[in-house]
Amino acid sequence: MTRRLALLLALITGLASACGHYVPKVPGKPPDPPAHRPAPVRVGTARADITMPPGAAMFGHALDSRVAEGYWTRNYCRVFYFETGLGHELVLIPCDLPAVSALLQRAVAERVAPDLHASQIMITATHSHAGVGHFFGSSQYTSLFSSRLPGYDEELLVALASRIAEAVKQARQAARPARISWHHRYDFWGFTRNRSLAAFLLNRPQYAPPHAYPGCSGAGCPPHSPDLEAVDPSLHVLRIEAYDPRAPEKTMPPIGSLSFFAMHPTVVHSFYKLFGGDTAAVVSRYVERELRRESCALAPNSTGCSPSCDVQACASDVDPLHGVINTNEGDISPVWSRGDIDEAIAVGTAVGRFVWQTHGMTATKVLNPLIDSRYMEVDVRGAEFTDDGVVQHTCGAGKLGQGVAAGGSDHRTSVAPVPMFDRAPPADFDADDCQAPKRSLLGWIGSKMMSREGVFPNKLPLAIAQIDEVALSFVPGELTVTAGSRLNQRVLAETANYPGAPKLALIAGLANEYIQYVATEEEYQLQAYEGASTLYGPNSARYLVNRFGVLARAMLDPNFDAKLGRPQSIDFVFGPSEQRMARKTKEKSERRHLGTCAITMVSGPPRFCMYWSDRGPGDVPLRPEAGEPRLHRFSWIELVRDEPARRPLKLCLAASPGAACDPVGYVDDRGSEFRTRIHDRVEGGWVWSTLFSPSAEEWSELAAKAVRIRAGRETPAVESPAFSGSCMPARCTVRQARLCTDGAETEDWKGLVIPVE
Amino acid sequence: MTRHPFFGTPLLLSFALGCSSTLGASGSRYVHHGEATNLGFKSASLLDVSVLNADFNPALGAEAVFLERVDGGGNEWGQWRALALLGVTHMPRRDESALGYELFLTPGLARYTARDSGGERNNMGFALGAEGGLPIRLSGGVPPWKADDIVGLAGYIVPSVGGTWLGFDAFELTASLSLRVKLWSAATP
Repeated sequence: MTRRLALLLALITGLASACGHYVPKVPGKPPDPPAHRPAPVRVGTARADITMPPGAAMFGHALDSRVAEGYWTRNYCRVFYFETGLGHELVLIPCDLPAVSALLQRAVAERVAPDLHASQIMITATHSHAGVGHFFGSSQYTSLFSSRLPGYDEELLVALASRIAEAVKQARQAARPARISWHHRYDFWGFTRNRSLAAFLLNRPQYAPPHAYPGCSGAGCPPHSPDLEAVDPSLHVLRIEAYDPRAPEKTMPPIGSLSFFAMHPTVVHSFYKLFGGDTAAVVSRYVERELRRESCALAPNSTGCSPSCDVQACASDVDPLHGVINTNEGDISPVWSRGDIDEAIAVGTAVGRFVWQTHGMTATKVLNPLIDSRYMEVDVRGAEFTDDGVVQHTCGAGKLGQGVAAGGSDHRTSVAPVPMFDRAPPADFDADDCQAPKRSLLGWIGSKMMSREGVFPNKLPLAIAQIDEVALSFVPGELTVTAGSRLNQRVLAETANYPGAPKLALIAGLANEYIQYVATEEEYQLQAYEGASTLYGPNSARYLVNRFGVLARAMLDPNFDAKLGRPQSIDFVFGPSEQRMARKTKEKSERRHLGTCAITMVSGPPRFCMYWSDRGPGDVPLRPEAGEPRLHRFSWIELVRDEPARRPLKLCLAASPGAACDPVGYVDDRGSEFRTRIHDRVEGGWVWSTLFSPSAEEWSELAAKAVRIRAGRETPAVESPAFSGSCMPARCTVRQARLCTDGAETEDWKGLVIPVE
Repeated sequence: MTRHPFFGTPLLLSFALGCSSTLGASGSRYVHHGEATNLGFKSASLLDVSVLNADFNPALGAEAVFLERVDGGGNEWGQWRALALLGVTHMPRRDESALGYELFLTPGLARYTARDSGGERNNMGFALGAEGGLPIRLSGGVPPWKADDIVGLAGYIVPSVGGTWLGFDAFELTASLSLRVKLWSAATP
């Protein structure tokens, strides 16, 4: 009776909370799988700008996820569309998002149907914790503890889905003949460390990297410790370049590339309240600049690509993309110390350089790659499966353990010092339930809260794809290095005896949904951060290994009936509806420049602070309107020349003297040089500020030029006075510096904002 | 107050129990079975249980009202209401508009003046009513990027009106004006 009552209550609550919400249609039957054999490939790319205005919360640091007051990089989804000569289509979409929801995947699929099916769309998250939240289809991710300002915003979901779908359509239209190459290396050492070493060491058999740690003796090496060795040092690049069937020998420009490596990308601390892509965004920008340089050097009018980039005219519209896809990074963090934006840029630049070097490694360019994929949706709750002849099952409901409260060892949370969360190990070794030895977060109350329907994702999209020699397992979570390694081994074992078998298997993590971390059964016993976040109990990793084994076999063995089935209805459960994405208003605001000043540094280039009055967060043109054909050329904050036409300044930014310029060498907010914030409404307008932080490379070219910082292209113009290396603005006062660097709380604006006469 | 410790106890309890505590002036007037006007004080505590359904912001609480009859008939602090509060409340956060809402069912006990053939007397019985209010945030609004502290206090002024059946003897209309302090945290949506 009590159970019936509880079910009834749950049903009523569920219906009430789902009432009126947009739910995408359930995708129909997936297209018939293609033959597993090589064929010519066409590839198209496009980017979607998913930068949100200030006012929405970020996601990933739970209660420490703040509300964004601006951005330091634009957040993008980079769409890679593959179409084979056999008619198979596959879309890989790495996004600067903290995580992905099946709700978003289906919303995108609905917008690109019937051309593409959900089973062909793989949205992965770079896992930037400075990406936007509020769009998930599981109540825990938009409700209690999801951020400092929780809430589900349907309009934000629709905006995300529409922008991504638009880019998918553009990429599909842009598809052209291509050839691909895989570049592999196994010396990604010194960049990462294992943040849960004690749990890692419990594994039997223990994970061993493909090559032993050679040590690090150069300048800048971190002090040696065992956690540096307990990582996956492999890094893989899928490079795609255009191909001209009429001139097969001709070297064509790159279309883009994808890199796969194990590094939980979070460097930036939770108290930085700016949207951004963290290290992955910096890696992408670094590699994209190099790809553009390469494009420029190959362009027909290559004389225009001289370092005197003022006259270059070549390929100014090129936009080769680089996407970062996380592999088995659950317990692998970057080596960092300060956790600020400058350090994220430094780490991302170093990794980007490494990734770019990998592009140049010897590899076979494949004209007819084998591209195939399989997709299934599973209900992970209490799922029964047989492994090694033993029937096993996952737990019937997701649950977080107490070990999550304090956060990962590299990013402790604000509640970490609270005694009840400071217990080590936070496990209950007397427990004998399915989740044992997990000690429920917030005890009995937490357990009850988490056992409700739809609190966590439970119907999971799983997919495997083979792109030439490499199998990619699209996993809706973050597998630890060992869990991921075991899954990869299973994929290879299941496919080894078939023609066209992959030679290498990789995880593509945080794909299409998010069940948080997945630790191995051994790691789970310690209930460290990753084990405590493993929602469906100690068999979670084993279950995923099993399911991906089935998917892999289904892809290779035409006689294997895997009963993958068609997508089922998912009961999305929404958090409280809130308006989190700033909307357009009819508010009247005046645009005017308020001040510009310089911050000189102990070493390195100076920084420049401009602040101005403008419209509100929902009204300024932070992004282009829908349908903008040249999205990659859009910026809001930019450097312009000090000349009447105010043309955007273009730097050469050649890798070396005489080398090709970056054909899109603009200095604007598409890069990582501008930290733009909104503050308060003062004197008839919203005060915004931006801190321009040129890199040493940029400043070396910039210092001799007279430039202005411009905010938007509307009239009246808002721009700084002209400045250059020899004609610097006045040095910032402490209050001005705070305004641009701190995101200062409500200020005494007197003196900073000059009243309108 | 000293003659009626009953008033102070729920006040203390309300502060101890609630995420928000309310203290204010209250008045009531019987409109059925005789007429009487009462004035007094009320205290209440509310526990935000929006965890049960964050779309509707359910809340549970307790309210104690202590009244004096002011239109003759004794002028004594002899009346009280001890009511449970079951309903919904939305006390606006700093990033929202200043005006919220709340609506409660108020079952409980009451000591009230009853009139029968023997005249007027104080009677004790059940109470059942409803109460609606409009919490108005006292502090100014801030944009959302300045409203993301992990914990804080917010003040509200809450005008409210309601009606209560007092046993089978009387029905009273109530009005109150209270100050409320809410201890909020980012954990409660």
